[in-house]
Amino acid sequence: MTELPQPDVRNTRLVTWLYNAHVDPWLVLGIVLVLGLGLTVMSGTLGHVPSMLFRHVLLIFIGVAALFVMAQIPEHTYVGLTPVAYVGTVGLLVYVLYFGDEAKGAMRWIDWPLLPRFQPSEILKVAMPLSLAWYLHDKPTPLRFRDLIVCLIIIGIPVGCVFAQPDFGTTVLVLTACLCVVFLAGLQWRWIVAATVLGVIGFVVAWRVLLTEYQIQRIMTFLDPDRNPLGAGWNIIQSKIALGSGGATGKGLGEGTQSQLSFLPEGHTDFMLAVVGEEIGFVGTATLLTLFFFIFARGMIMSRNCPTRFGRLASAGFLMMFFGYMLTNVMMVSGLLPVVGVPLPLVSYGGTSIITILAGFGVVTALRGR
Amino acid sequence: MNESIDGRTNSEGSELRSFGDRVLILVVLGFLMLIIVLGRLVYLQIYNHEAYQTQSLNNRIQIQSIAPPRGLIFDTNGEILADNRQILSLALVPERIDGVDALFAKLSELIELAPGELQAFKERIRGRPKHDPIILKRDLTDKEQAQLAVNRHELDGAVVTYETIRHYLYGEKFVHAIGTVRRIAKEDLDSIDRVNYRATQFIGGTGVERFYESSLHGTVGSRSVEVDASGRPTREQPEDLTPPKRGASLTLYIDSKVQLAADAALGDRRGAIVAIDPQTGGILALVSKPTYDPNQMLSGTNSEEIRQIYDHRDKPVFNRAVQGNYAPGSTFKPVVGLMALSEKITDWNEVIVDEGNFNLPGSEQVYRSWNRTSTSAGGHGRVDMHRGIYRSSNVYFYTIASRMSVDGLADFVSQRFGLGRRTIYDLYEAGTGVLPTREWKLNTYNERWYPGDSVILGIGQGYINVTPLQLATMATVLANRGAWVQPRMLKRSDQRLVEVVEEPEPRHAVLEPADMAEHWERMALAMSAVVHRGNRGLDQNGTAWAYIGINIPYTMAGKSGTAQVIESAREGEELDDEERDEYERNHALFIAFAPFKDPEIAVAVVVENGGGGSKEAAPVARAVIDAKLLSSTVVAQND
Repeated sequence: MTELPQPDVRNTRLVTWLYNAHVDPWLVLGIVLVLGLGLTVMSGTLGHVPSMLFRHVLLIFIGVAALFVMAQIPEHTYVGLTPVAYVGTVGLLVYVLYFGDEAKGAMRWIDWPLLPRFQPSEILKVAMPLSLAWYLHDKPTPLRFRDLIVCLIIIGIPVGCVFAQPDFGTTVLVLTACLCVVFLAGLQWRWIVAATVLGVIGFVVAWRVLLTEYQIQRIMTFLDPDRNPLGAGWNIIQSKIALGSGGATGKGLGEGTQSQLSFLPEGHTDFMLAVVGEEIGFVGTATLLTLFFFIFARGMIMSRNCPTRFGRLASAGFLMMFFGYMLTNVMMVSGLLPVVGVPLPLVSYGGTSIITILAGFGVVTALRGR
Repeated sequence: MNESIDGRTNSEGSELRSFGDRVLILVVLGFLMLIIVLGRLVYLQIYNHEAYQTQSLNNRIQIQSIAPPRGLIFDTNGEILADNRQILSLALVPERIDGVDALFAKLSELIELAPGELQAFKERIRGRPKHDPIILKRDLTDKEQAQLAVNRHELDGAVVTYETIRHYLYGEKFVHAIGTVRRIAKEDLDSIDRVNYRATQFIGGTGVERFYESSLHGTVGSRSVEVDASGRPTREQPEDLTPPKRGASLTLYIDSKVQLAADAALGDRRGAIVAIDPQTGGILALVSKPTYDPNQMLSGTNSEEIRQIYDHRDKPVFNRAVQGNYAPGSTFKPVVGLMALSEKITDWNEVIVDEGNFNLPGSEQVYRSWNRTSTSAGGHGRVDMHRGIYRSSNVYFYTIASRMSVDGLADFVSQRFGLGRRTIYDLYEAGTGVLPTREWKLNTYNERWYPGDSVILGIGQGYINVTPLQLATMATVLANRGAWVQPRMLKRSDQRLVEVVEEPEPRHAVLEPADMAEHWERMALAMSAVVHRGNRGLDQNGTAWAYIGINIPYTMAGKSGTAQVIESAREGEELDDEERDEYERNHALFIAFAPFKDPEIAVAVVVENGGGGSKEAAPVARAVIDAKLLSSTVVAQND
């Protein structure tokens, strides 16, 4: 793997300041560009409700602040706090199952005074990679079987809670990213083959037994959107029209008829990419996706260069989570996956997600060492 | 392996290599996925661009939601209590407004708009589709309609629409019995199904309207509307895709003639009445006074008037019948008596001499009789249980209660009579009252239970608090000779309900110990003496006989109560002396059931600051029972 050349711009004050703040300029550059692109398009969509736009900008500021704060925390503090974070998150997930706020038939939200409404499953994006890294950092490679079992238990408890909410999309995403951490920790290839076989069998069982009517309905609608053109299928049809009608260069900022005339539901949240595609075309979507990959690749290189195994595993795990969310959202919006209700990281309007993601990048930065 | 965090061991090298390889694998995989989604975007945005552009240009069909008609509410005889009414309202379509402030300025020249309306409107458009009209002013007058029609060309985005709103046929007379709907608030948006409520403006706020909201609401419908490029509907006929499905209509146990009689009997006095059918537990009437007109709240946009209703000193919006807390006073005595009998603390033959005073052994505190005057200590002489009830002897029940354990009494009244609990099946806002126990007092006042607390509990005073609904439930159990039925509002519905509705459990009496059935019957007899025992001379008649029993055409059992108002809840308010006197007067209470054999109605009446229970509350109870038992004969006479 070739390393990206370290930018030779240390003489500029901004970069020097970033270095002093222990922040990677390449990573920050990627994030700032994605945030800027997203905000530009959103200001057209949400222009008529300044309060929502203001809230979004405020959350971005909180998130960026969280990034810088998290980046200053030394690694041993993370190692010490991880078990607490894990137990706390599991506690919140169990709490939300019994006392959470229900929205659209799922128990996902916690609404406490003085805090914005948030989903505890958000925290998993950062907490799960840390937890697995905490357990695996002193275990030998290749992985022993019992370590694998412990890992599966660590993954299984919170993911089981998320599945019970029910939140199918988050379940699959968190599970996948966690399995990537185990893979990076030195999972033996023959086990991977065995697990794949088991996975296929498991998929068949899941389809037949575990998925609820609502989940199957969503998948079936995805396979054939015309089944229910007013329900979930409506979103896919409209989002494909939005993307396709945008063409190479788009209809212009704020000119997207799909989003502006409310054909496209949730245009500022989960289906934000469709608005980008409609208003600034393939140029916009391709740029956005390339920037995402740039952040991902840069982050993975940083994780490879981490001085400790804890740092390597935790940061790589978070980046897999980040990239996985992005891919799932893009595939959902472009009709390659069913509508699972996953926001586009750093871009979608959606409360606390943006804070967790930015805080997660703060952790990645902190773990890369000084 | 501790040093693996800081130093590198030998195996660290191979681990690092393996990690690097695997990171590379994942990044390459990620890159492949990126190529796939980019390929998909090329396919959609470049290759199929023209096809989708055509679709987008033709995308002129908007799906509009149609609110379902809310289910109707009927009384037990099928008379309509709540239906839906069409009114003309001014609505604004957010996406067609050029400048909100300018439009509001123009509108306020034409019609009367409340000052905070602009801000409220800006709040309300959040989170709703921009092409959905938002109601600004309801129930336009003819003059306002004309004003708007003439100036239509200047009012882009303003439309006059028909709107369906809830209409309560009896207005303020039934509002506490059936509840009301209210405008959907911002806080509701998180808890409702937004798709189903997209076109809905109102949601159940109280009472049955609230409890059965999901069933009453119905299912949203949709129609497709052709629009031009700027989103304006064209003149073509909208096409219905799915018609809305009407909400379930509910038939309640409420009996209009009983409810109206109760409302009239209480008149302008503050208080509450609850009547229950002892056979089914069905609520026949539920009155709380003062009251307010829900129709005014729904169609009115004058927020000043509405605020006045909310801020009124006597709290007309507060449902006293299910949430008001009152000391039960002497209406509690039959319950105490039954507890004593079941625990064999006393029997029907024990005689206690009531000379108007009661002392706990070793205490200075004197507990007095209700009929003491300036010249006499009062008292009722030799009193057994039967006489203790019909003369309402305090000393008798002080004595009995002083022998009881408070926890045992609390257990008994909670299980058999449902006090201290919310027992009604289908009202969320029903209160539990307060049923004191040792533990409760320790937790609430951090004080132990004193014998004196038990003594006054014997006559329904002290810490105990009940709602009028609980009083009526108590009367129901007494009417049923101990058989429990759960109070409920809903009799039946014309559709399967969304809410899980459990069938009422069949009535059954707990007849432990063996002679309990006899005790229940004799207690009912003693209560009938309260009403019917008359012409016996001073201090020999039932307490309520002179007021309601003299020429009563049916058999009735009752018990009066007078609850001391211990601390005025109105401290800090500016009242003149006369008003203060009134608010500190005792509450008058009466519970009753009739006919004596196979009772058809059980009633509880509370008249706030009314004074004596027999004098003030008993005639109200009688009027309510008359309406239930005599109205058919009245009709017969008219024929």
